[in-house]
Amino acid sequence: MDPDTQVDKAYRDSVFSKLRPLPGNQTCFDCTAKNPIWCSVNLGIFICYGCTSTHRSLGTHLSFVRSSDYDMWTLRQLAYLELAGNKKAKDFFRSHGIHGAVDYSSQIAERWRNELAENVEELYPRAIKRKESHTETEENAIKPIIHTQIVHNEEKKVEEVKQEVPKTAAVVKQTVHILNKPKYTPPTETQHRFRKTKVEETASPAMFKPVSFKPPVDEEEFFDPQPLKPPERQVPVISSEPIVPQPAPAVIQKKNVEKKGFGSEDFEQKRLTERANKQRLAELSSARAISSDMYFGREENNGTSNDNAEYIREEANRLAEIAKEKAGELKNKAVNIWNNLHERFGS
Amino acid sequence: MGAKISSLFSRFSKRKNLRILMIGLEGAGKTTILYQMKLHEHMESIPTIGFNVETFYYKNIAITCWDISGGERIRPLWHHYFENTDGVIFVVDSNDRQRIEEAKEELHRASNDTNLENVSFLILSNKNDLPNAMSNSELIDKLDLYMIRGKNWYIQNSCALTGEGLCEGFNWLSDEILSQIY
Repeated sequence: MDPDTQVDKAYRDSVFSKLRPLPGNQTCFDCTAKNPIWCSVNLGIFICYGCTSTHRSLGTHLSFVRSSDYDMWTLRQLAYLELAGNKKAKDFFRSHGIHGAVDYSSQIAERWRNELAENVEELYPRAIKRKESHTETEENAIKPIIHTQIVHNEEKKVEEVKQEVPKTAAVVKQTVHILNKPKYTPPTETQHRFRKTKVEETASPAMFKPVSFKPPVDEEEFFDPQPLKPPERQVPVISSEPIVPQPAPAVIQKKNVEKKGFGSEDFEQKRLTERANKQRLAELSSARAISSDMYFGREENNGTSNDNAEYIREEANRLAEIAKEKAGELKNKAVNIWNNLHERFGS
Repeated sequence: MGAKISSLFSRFSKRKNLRILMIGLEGAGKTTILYQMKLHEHMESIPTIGFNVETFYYKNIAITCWDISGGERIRPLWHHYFENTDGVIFVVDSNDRQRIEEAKEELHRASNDTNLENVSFLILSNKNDLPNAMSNSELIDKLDLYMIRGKNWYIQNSCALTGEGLCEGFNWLSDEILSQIY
């Protein structure tokens, strides 16, 4: 089971009915309100409806607010609250000398979030196991969490990791076997590296053979502890296709930076090819605002974005010239070939 | 002559009413944008359950802005508000890379609705002041905006805390709607 698929409402409620009565969870983390039903997922705390405003204004990377009642939850998100809770969080902040209100953008809060995320990575296979026994669909429990040990024991040397490989691989294989149910959806690129590798594994049917399992070629990379960290904080996930190069050409950047928004119904005539679209996207990477018309490259007819229209016109002319050149070249080549053939076989 | 002048006068002086719908995932900043436009100040908002509706005047146009809750259980109800809508604002949290896929699905579901045919979409990439925010071109790519056919869209950077970029966005939307009506 994928830890990022949403659990059903009954399971979510059963988890929260256990979590809410725990000591500490009965009052809001920030104020004294009773019986909070809102949660900050990545901080692992219960907060009241009134205190959600401060958390929401921080941004989702600092505090991701969800309702235990109105929202759907994933296993991973539930694991955050199961592991932490108000009491543990309060103890952590107290042990670091913070007794009153917590500044969630501070270093200490960042450390709490990271530690919690690491622990959650360890917990979620167990959560899956529990969920499966809850629904009574899968008897096969996942074996002890060897891969998470590798994840968190960062001092472990590479050789040791290599020694672990066959064992770990067997466990992963089991995991994959469980994962490979129809309910499983392939993870997107923004999701966890670990699962991504598992999906690659599922592609090869050979790995389901029970005994003669050979580790994949890129095993070192696969079991390298580095990429297994929770990806949200460590690496900003960027699209795998490098369509959008970050540094735009200086001239274009200047042109677009001056404009905050671009006009509409501009360049309808010249709908460019997909490649040209991508090129355009790259060119617009520094724009403050991009409209559909700009993206598709429509002809400009009002005076609001003359610069852009001029630029587009120039670009179109340039492309036309290139096309003409290429056509000429092709023609020459064809003539040459024809002449060659004629010389050889014609006479 | 007099009739001409008076018609011209009425054209400029008449207050037009626009009904604008604001949707997006929860926590994207819809309510903050609404009150930034209405009160020109930052209000810390609590999660909307249901909807907020405010009317404010922007360039002599009365804009009735409906801010619908983006909660997962409310999203299936969005289509009840689609009827008789002049323009749609889709607010995206440009700093939230994890849920951009979810935002894409909701955007395309809304844009394919029959009640929103020929309705212009303003996409506000909110929270753009944060350092890890996605650029417009990245958002176009991730939201598959080029898949939206048959309607005009416009993507605008914004920061609801300061109100930056909101006027530009509303400018485009109101111009777009008025050019279709008049």
